[in-house]
Amino acid sequence: MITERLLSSLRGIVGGDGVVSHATELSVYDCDGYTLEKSTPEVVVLPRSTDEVAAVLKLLKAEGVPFVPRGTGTGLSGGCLPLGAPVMVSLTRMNRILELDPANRRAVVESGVVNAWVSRAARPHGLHYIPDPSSQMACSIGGNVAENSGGPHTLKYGVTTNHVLGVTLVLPDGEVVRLGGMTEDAPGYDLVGVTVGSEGTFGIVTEAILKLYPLPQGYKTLLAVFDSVADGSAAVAGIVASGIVPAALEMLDRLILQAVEDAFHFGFPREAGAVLIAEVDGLEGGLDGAAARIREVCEAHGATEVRVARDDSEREALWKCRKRAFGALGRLAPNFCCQDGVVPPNRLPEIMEHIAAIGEAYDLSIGNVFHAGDGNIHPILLYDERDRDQTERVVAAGREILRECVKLGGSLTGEHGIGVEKVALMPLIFTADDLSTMEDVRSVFDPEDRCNPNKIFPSAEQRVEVRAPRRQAAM
Amino acid sequence: MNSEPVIHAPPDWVGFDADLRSSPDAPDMGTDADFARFAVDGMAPERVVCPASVSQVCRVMAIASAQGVAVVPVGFGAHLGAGAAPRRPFLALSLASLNALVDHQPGNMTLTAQAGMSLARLQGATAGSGQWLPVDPPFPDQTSVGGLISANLSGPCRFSQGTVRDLLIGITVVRADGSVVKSGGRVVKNVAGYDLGKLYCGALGTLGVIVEASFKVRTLPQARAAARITCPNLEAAQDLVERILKAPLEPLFIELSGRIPAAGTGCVLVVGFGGAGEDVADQAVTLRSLVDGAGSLEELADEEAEALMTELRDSRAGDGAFFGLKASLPTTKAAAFIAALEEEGRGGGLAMAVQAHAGNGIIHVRIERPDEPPVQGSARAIVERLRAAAASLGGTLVVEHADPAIKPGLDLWGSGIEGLALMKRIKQTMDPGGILSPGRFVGGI
Repeated sequence: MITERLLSSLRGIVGGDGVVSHATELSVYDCDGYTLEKSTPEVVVLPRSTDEVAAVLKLLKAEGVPFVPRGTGTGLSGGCLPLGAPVMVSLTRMNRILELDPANRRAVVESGVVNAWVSRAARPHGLHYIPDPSSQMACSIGGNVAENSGGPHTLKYGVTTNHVLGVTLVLPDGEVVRLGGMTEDAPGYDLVGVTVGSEGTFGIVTEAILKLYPLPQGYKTLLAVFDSVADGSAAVAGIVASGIVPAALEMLDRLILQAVEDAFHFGFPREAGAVLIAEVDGLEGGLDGAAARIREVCEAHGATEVRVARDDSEREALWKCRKRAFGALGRLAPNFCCQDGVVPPNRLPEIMEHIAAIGEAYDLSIGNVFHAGDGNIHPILLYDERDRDQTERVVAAGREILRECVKLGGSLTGEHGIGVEKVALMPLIFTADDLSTMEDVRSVFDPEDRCNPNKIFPSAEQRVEVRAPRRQAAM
Repeated sequence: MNSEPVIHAPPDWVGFDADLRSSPDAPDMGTDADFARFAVDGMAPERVVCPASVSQVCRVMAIASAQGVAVVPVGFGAHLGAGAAPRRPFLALSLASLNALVDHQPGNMTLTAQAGMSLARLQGATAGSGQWLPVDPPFPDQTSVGGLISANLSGPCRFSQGTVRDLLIGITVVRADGSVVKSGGRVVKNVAGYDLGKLYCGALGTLGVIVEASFKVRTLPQARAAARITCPNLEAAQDLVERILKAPLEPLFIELSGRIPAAGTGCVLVVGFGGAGEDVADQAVTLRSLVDGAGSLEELADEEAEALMTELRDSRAGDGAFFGLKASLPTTKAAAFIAALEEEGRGGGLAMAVQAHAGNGIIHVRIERPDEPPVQGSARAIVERLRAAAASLGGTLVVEHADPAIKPGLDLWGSGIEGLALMKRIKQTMDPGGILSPGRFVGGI
């Protein structure tokens, strides 16, 4: 589908060093963090500006070629897997922070800017960017916008959609629209709100206007130890119901905390059934009281030990363990699949029981490390992709877990997106009319279905190339 | 008034039309008064229908769609002044009978309500569990859940709590063709499918009839306090706002209000606090030291603070005003815009009330009816000059409401809205027959 003439035109737009077309180099782009399915693009284009993105998309429009946008490839649902899209547009060379306006608490950044860079740039002004996915050292703002990403600290302060005021969107025909703006309440339909979380199917977001918030005056970070996941889950439900709104409420089960302990030596009790990390933040005056109440609730639900981080370095070490938990999994198995279902927090004990039972039924090791406070579970199914049978069991077990989430009143995905992974499950929560309404909206932005095709909607056919086994990098 | 009904309805249509059900929030609903209540800019509906179920809403829409009848979804009619009048005669589709609290899960901090439920009743129902839906638009007893979303209503607490777009987690809508569609769900974190709920926020009923919505709720503040600071001038107030924003404070809201021409003593800044008792008390102390002579400070607690908050919440309502504007600006430009308002007031001999959500850069301006009957062109010129002033400061300006006599001559939204072509296509795909609130929204949508 990709002709030499097209390649040459693309080089003319982005420069020779901005076009990747050799098979060996392309293999890097064959999947994101969701490794169960792989597919290699025919060419990867790396534009350096919105104008270049627009020129590329105009060219692809003229040639009728489908494409897929990609950030840094840390997604967990195969959102940037090229399926019927021979051209991949990578935003990694668009990585400038264009404007920082501390007085008005705004940052304007290009899509390829890494999430953590924003807070790093804002910190000297006493500000930060709140959504903090565990992959924040690597994931890009453009990817965050596409997936409406969350993170541990979005429990209190909201996810990406609550922090994006404007986007520059290059439509699939190459037209550039600047939606929203630096101020609130932009007139007209909230197109920014519907673009965030559209999984890269509306066009290519090249810039985003972000809200910044003041750094909290203080933190109190607690580590509560439980004999079982059930006790920890009950404590989570108790904390949420008590009216305390922690900044973060994260749980790690035994499998995960042992792997994390082996990797990072934080001092987690290896024999514990589960640990809960609870953080309260805000004005110094109220922190001790809130922390004391969380301690009470945890103890009432059978916590065997509750520790408070002594200082900033201990707090940072604790968060490093949590956010790098995925990295530690390489010690346990060559591959893992992380699910992203959601249940109402008071159903956490039930879903944890289901997950354990499903793990047994399918003879799989499943670990849990998740955003407990908003009921966003992350069961991690360990496998070795060289084992076909085990790989198939992982897929089946993952789907069964999500079905249970839906039965408990929850959702298929809290922050990773539908991507290719959960396409087939969409009818569990949406009717044909619901889905066709969404597709109607999609067709407004992408009438030719050329932008990240075969995603989200179950009518899509999946054309996945199953590649030779590849060991996943540990840590 | 409806002697020439535009709808030649089948017999079963009449069933629920004639039998208008009353609402627990508005016992007089279902009378002739509805024709006045649901008039948009003086234009009364041809008919009022009040379906008793979602399936009846679907039937109404299917019939209206087939017959090309314009439909304006209505709650209590209190916020219909937003946007333009419908382009053609219309049927008012009242959601008053769909007023149930569907599901409140205090343990999960979520709530689902039907569109016709009043915000006041909703807040009453959640207060028992120590929770609230943290929005505070004017007159919650006359604000329905559907209207809250459709008119994108907010109040002072948006500074700390966000607006309805931040709280809405799921929505069920009847489309123009009568199909029922939903997006989102009932859990606080959910990215399955497009977030279509955002599209209905502020859409003035142009994309569908909202029948049910789910929200995040939050814990009610245990204690409240407010400080009223009278500043000698605008500059002093703006300076204080900027210092408050940088201070170790977490205000519930920061409201700046004043009159043009200035009535007596400068402008008033009200800073509200809510939360645990000790937090609130600590913050009041911090604020006191921060103000330190920049203005005269009056501290209010509990009931007094609540009363002041209610007064602030309701004070910007538009009844009787000549017209009302909303400017959205970078927060640091609020004072510059208010200076532009003062200049406008001096030049035109106008009286205005200004209320700013100072921490958000949102400024509501209520322009009083002048003694002399105005020339239509002058209102238009005022709007255009102030819009230009807002634009030069990096902001936008919309007309929130206006006397029906002058409204048709005003550009309510401003030109050059980015993405307008996309918006028109969204309208086209959601409502191909153009029957939902036609002409009420931007660009004639």
